[in-house]
Amino acid sequence: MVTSPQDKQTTPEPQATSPAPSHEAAGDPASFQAAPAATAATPPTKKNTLKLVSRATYLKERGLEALFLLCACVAVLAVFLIFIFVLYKSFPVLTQIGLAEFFGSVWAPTDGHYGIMALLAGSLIVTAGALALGVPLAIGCAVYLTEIANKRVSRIVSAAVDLLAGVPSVIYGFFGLVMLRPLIADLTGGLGFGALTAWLVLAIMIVPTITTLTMDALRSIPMGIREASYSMGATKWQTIYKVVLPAAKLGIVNAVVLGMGRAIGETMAVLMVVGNAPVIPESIASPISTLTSQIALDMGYSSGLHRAALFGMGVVLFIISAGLVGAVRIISRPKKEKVDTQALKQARLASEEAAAAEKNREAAGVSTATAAATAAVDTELVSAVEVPEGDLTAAATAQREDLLVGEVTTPYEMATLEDDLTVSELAHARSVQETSRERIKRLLANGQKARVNKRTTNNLMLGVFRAAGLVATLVLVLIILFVAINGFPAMSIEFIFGWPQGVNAEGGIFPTIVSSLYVTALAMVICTPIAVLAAVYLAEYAKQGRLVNFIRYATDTLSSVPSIVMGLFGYAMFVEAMGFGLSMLSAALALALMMLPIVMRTTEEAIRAVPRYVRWGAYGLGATKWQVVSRVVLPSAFPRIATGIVLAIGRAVGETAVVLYTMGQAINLPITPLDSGRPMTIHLYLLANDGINMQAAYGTALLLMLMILAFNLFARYLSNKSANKAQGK
Amino acid sequence: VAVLAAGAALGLAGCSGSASETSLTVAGSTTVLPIAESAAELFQEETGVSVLVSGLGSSAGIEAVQNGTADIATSSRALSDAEKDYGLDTTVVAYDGIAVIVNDDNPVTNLTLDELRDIYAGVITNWSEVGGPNLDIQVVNRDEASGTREAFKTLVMRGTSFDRSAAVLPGTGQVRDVVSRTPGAIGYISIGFVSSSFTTATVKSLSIDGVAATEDNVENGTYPIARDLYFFTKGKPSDLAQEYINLVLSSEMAQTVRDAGYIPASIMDE
Repeated sequence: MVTSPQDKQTTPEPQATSPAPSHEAAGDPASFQAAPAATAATPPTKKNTLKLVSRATYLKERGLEALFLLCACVAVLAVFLIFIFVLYKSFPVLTQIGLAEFFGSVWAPTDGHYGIMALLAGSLIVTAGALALGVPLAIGCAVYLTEIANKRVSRIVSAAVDLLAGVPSVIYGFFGLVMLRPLIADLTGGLGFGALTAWLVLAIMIVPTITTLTMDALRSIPMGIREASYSMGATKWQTIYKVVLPAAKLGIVNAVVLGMGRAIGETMAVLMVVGNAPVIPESIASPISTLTSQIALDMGYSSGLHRAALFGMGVVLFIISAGLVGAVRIISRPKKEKVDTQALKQARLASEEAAAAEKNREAAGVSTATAAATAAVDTELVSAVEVPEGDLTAAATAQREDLLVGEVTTPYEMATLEDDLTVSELAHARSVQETSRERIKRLLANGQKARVNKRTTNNLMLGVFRAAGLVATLVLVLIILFVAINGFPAMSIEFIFGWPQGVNAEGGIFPTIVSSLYVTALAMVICTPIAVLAAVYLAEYAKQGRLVNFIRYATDTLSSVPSIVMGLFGYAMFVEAMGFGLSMLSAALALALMMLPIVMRTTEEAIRAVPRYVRWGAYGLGATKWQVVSRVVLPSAFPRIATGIVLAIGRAVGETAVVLYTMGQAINLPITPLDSGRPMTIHLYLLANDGINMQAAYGTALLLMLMILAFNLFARYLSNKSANKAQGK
Repeated sequence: VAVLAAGAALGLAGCSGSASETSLTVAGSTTVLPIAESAAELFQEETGVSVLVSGLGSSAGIEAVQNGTADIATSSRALSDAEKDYGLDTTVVAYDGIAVIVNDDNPVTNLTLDELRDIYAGVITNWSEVGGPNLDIQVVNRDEASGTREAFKTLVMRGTSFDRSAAVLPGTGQVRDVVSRTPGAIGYISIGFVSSSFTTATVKSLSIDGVAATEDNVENGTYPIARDLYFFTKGKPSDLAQEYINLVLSSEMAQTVRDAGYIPASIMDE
């Protein structure tokens, strides 16, 4: 352990900022003065790393590490608690209803029938249709954005996609109810409630999720593959279809599975458009019900076995979404073939060397690697590091596929194209004896024909992709216009700062705005420290291994927990078991759990994006791990972390299902965390349901939308700013 | 079901605290919600005591009064047999007729109570079976939390189950809006909401057993689908609760009750 003489020789509390020469000894043996002390001290103890710090510092470091680990485990704990609590509350399903009855087909709680089969079928029908509509649109949109669109258009469309992801589900539901339902009703001659309407609404909702993830997958495919394809004379469409998409297959499957999770777990939007008839539907235009919507609809008044059955449905939803996350992890787990790994390792080493070399160059160019040298070089370095690694994974993916399919080709399918050509050529040569002149003529003619054909297909398909991008943008514009045009007449100072009055909530919505902001702020205060410290643990402290994998899986599962299940859990845990009642605190705790994975993920990415040399610089100055993290890494990662937090806030402000049964619904101006209230989302939901004072509903929707757009734009601004700063602009 | 545990802090304070700092918690029927809310505003203006009103359904309200989280339960149905054991004090505050509404273009003007029941049970599925055009009947039901559904079930269904494939909508205005746009639709809402100043969409109410759905017919007791609206308190109402109930019954509130689509109880007593 640490010995006292050394403590005296090195300063007890090494400061990253103080340029004491003894510190340099730690990093640079060539340093003068303290170097002999350090080397002399080496033999007696084996733990080199510990000698330079005092016992107090050591304990502090270990204590902090333990604290971070604890924060990281909050996600794991939360997932367990959610599952156990919801399962516990649904226990009567096993003891009194019986699994056979529970999975029966008759849902009629008032008559004592608790069969969820029709609801489960409803969930699956709604999800399948939404995927059938949404997946092609999303993939088309992603391909358009990454492969076809020029930078400026791409920026606009991807902004539109991001904003679509931020639109609260209650607004989608409102849009579906007021705009789509009458249209569908006219088309089908029915009521307009049913699977078809839900498909359209859900398809719009899952497009951003799938698009963003697919874009990530496509971007990780190295340019070289595309260039190889073009150099073989392939058109853009051929490159996309035969090269890029197959190479990104795994990433796209992941995206689709996650989109599926989103669709199955969606509550409010579905609730507002399905018509809530718990039967297997006769047609796509007749009313159905889903697990999520039935929970939200019944929770308010259910009791006894009925309530237990609702919690049982929560368990089913939890298992489905956790299963989907598990499936994604299994799909995307790299299949480790020995040869591959070796090659990969070597290649990765090489690339790291290259990256390191790059860094050195960069670092030398800017200044010595002190803690001050941070953001300026960040992004360039990041890209330097990221690109080669991305290349490798993509290459590995492609290779794996090649192995699977049994094709011998290395530069991907290009060779296959070539093969095809040669084969047909040979066939021709065999069948017809021809002079070389004739042969050249024929080939030229063939080439001409093929090119025309190729071009038409190319243009046609590129048109399809463009259309996909256009549709995504148009949908956003349509929703914004719908809310803005209808909501604008309701806007007034009185509406924003007034109180609801009279039998139909005329007047203002001030208390609901305050409730929304109050609960979000509270949730943020609870969530941020835990999430950031957990991310610090994962990114800086943790050794990649089982524990970290497990924490990641738990975090992913937590982020996929359907919001209504989170609401059920919040109700059972915070409202009832912990006795917080329907209050800001209960709702904020549930929201914090929902925000936790988002903030954790973005923070971890932000921390990983801080180049390693910055840390080395700080360590070189003798800083402890915590000093490095708190003074160097976190400050330089701050803009990205802030972006993540702002996005999470946007989500929380727009959340409905989580707060529906944790906050209460009474209009009230909350003062203490134990007060109840009605947030804007629930106000909008109730107004839309009443369907009487639609003016106020539109007005609330507009204000809500403006707030969320503001948060999202602010987040974009933050991330752009940090990107610009990093590029030295 | 402590759905209203929200009010717990305030509600409990109301039980134990001094009169000047107390507030009232009123919970229950969404049908009675508009009356209770307007009265709450008026009550606060006049006495300075705040009243927390929430509408989560009659059953939830009765439960909340029973377990002490609310002072007054509002309900659009009478107590069930089980609830009669709670020892609740009953006040009738208003009367409500439920109108059966169809699209303006629907030529049908009258249904018997039995035909109506068969339609909602899924036995009659085409308007031609009740003297209308050859058009599928699109049945619109209310959610189970709704007091209107409860009353409809008691007054019309009388033991027959609802057709479960009917659309279930969670609000009066939505039912009205959907029916106004769909030629074959049928729904039910409180008489007071048949014509609303908030929307331009119109619907037509049917007469039942030959009696038109008008307030007069509800008042004179001939219209068959009508019910009483109640306030329940646990035991005799406290002074504060009594003051609030008196306000709801006062002539001051009569117009508001009419605006909300109901018939004030005070007027029928006279």
